[in-house]
Amino acid sequence: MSATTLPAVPVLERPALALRGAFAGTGDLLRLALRRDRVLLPAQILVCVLLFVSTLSSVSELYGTQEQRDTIQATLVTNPAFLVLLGPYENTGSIASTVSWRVGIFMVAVFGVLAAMAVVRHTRKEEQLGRLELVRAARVGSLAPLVTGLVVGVLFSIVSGALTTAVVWPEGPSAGAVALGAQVAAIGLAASGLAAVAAQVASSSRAANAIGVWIVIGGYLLRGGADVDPDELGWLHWVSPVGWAQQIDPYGANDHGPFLLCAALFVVGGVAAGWLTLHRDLGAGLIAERRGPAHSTSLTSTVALMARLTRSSFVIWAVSIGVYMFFVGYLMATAGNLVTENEQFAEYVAAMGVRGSDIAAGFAALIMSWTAYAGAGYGVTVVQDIRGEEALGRTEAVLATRTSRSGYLAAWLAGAVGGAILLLGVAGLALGAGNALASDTGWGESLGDGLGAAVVHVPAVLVVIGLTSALFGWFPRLVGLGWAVIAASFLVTLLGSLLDLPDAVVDLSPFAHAPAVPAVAWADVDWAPLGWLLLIAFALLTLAFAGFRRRDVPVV
Amino acid sequence: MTATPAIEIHDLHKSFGAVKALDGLNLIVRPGEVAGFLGPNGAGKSTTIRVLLGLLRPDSGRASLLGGDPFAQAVDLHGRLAYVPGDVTLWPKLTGGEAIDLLLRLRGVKVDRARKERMLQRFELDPTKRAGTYSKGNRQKVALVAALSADAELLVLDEPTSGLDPLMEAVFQDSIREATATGTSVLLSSHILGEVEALCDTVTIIRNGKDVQSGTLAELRHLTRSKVSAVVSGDVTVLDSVAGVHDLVVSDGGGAAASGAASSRIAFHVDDDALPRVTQALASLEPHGLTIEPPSLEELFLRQYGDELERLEDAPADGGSLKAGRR
Repeated sequence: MSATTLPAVPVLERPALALRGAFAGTGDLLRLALRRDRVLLPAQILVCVLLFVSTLSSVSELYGTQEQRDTIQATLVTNPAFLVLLGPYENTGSIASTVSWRVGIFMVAVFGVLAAMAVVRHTRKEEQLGRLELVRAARVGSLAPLVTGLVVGVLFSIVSGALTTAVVWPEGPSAGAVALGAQVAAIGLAASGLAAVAAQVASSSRAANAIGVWIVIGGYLLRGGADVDPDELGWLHWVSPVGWAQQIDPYGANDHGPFLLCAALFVVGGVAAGWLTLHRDLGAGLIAERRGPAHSTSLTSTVALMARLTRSSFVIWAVSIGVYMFFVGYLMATAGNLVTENEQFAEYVAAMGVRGSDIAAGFAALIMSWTAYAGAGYGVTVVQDIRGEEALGRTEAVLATRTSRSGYLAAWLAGAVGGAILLLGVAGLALGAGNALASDTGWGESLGDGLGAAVVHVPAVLVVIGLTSALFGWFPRLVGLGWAVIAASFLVTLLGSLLDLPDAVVDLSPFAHAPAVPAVAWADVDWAPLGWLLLIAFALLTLAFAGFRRRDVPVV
Repeated sequence: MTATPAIEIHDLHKSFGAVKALDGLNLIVRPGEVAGFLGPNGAGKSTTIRVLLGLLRPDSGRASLLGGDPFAQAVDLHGRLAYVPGDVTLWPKLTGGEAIDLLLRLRGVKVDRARKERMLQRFELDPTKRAGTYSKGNRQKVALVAALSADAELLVLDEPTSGLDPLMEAVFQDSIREATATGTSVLLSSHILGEVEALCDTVTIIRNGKDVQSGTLAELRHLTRSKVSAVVSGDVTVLDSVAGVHDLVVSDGGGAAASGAASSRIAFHVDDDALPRVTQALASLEPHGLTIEPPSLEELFLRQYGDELERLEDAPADGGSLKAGRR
């Protein structure tokens, strides 16, 4: 300081902890957040809880008696693939405890991912999109957005946990139901705390989501390792919140200690995120965005652009489906034993159109029919991407160049159709590879069977993509209906076998016409329905081009 | 260069549901000409440009672009033009440099690295940053660099500088002049009047989807009144009898009383064709500090939108200050 006298100017210094007023506006932000999530969050919770409900129904059908449950325990207890995917089946006492084994750990991972993404959505994403700048310029404290994100995470966790408890309540001991709900809430809380920190560390919501999601998925895989070899790797149960949540052991120990551990992680994460928020500038993160190339030699066409934009999402889909189908393939032989030892399961599998002679093949066909929905889902996301490009003005920029409308749409639909077919191929090969490793079937035969089981679903997938594309061509605001078609087909197939719906109704689903290859021999396949589906798909795709060629761009 | 206009629009209509976006628009851009396209937000500028790019189908009327049909021949025509949208959105995963290369290649142009480098330097744009991290101004620079890094017969620019700072505005104007020197025609939609005044040969003012005035700047000025002010001695009432003088305001001349005669400060508007008569009348009044200002583009523009401005200004009591300049 010099000796000259200056008028008193308030000294701007960094306050150690400017907590006063830091929470101002939290209530308003929270109301805004809940308003914006009013469809997404309830829908996510509903789908997850419905999965518990549908598993309850199938478990009570297949493993309704203690005897049946003891049988599957005896069959499956040592299979490493089951141990990685589902964890050990120790609590055979009730239907609810079996459900907890069947989907519990998997749902822990799902709830964890959803909670992490919810927190990032209301913190880093808002900040990255610049909306937070506008919000923070109002009378809103620096911690208000973070607290909003955390509260959304807490609400999501508690509601999910409570509903989970409610749906399994009638089917088993109440202490177990409470522990299962606590397991769901625990991972939600822990993931929220971690995501809050990730949202401060990463400077993009994409990176923050990736950190949160990989911690959860990594934890899921690590605890899988611990379950396969508890003596050597048991400590892996304690390195991630997914492992902690598993140690709550619903319907077994019902130990709420790990819940407290998860809750503590939430508190520590929240406080750490708050500290980071107070000590960084708006928009900044600890991990800076990477620089990229100044030139491009590869981006030469609309196809190249489409491939570049859909690449990372395709890889995620392919890896997820591939890993899942690999495990399923690995389990196929065991599934055969299961059917011979469990009459109800045999009946169930038979009802799905599987012949008794080759149970493993029937199991493969059944699982692959579910994968077809995933392939169609990928196709729908790509068509939604085209719509997103249009709504954001990027389609306009491309169509203002020497790119024709047909060429533009063809490039993207090649991505939707090609990507979906590739996904089915990956699923088929992964299934075959898993089966070849686990059984004494030859590699060639095994891969061929897997691929065959996948390929028969291509026509149905193309119909769904065609329908979504036609919507894009004529009524671009409605492309989201593609998901409704998938959901409705799924429901009709699911309810069709449960409620004995008339064939005419079940046949409305494009997915209902695929033959159960490899359980059905190629010589016995009825090609006519597949041919019709392909014709319908072709007509719908043609319709999409006709619409897009003449309509206004952009339709907003 | 042929005599076919770069852009010719005749009686164009386009509605979105009940909203009439274009309601009988006419527009012409001659080869090698820089045409300003003026109008406030929502007047129909972007709709017009989208029709010209074949993105929207007009309900009725004619539009031709470089002598072709903008919708049916879109692809071929687009190879001959470059477009800078008003609201540039880029692919967040791509870097600025990648987006520029992509847009150039999609135009069917081979990327000229040296020219691109020059433009990047000129606009001070870092091409290695992901587009998702660019500000609005930087996104606009990406589109401008992509448009200007290869020759085009026609530049279609939709408010291309709304996010640029004054330094970049000057760089932009230089770049456009460079392009027009090689014969490029330009359609420049803007509401930055200084930019239009500096660059444009002709101006079309659009209002509610209709062209309300068009011509060269000189022609437009001719249509409206100049503003005259001076300090005079003598009887100012002679001006009253001159046809074409409007809004004469006389006030005390103040410090100009050195000559001894009573002096007064006068200000009035004059019709362009009355100017010779008025200067004769003024000469007899021994004017000092005489200024005759031609109407600025802003005045031309506000004249077209005067009633709307009045409506908007209805509430405040001191709406007079802006009105003085108008009529």
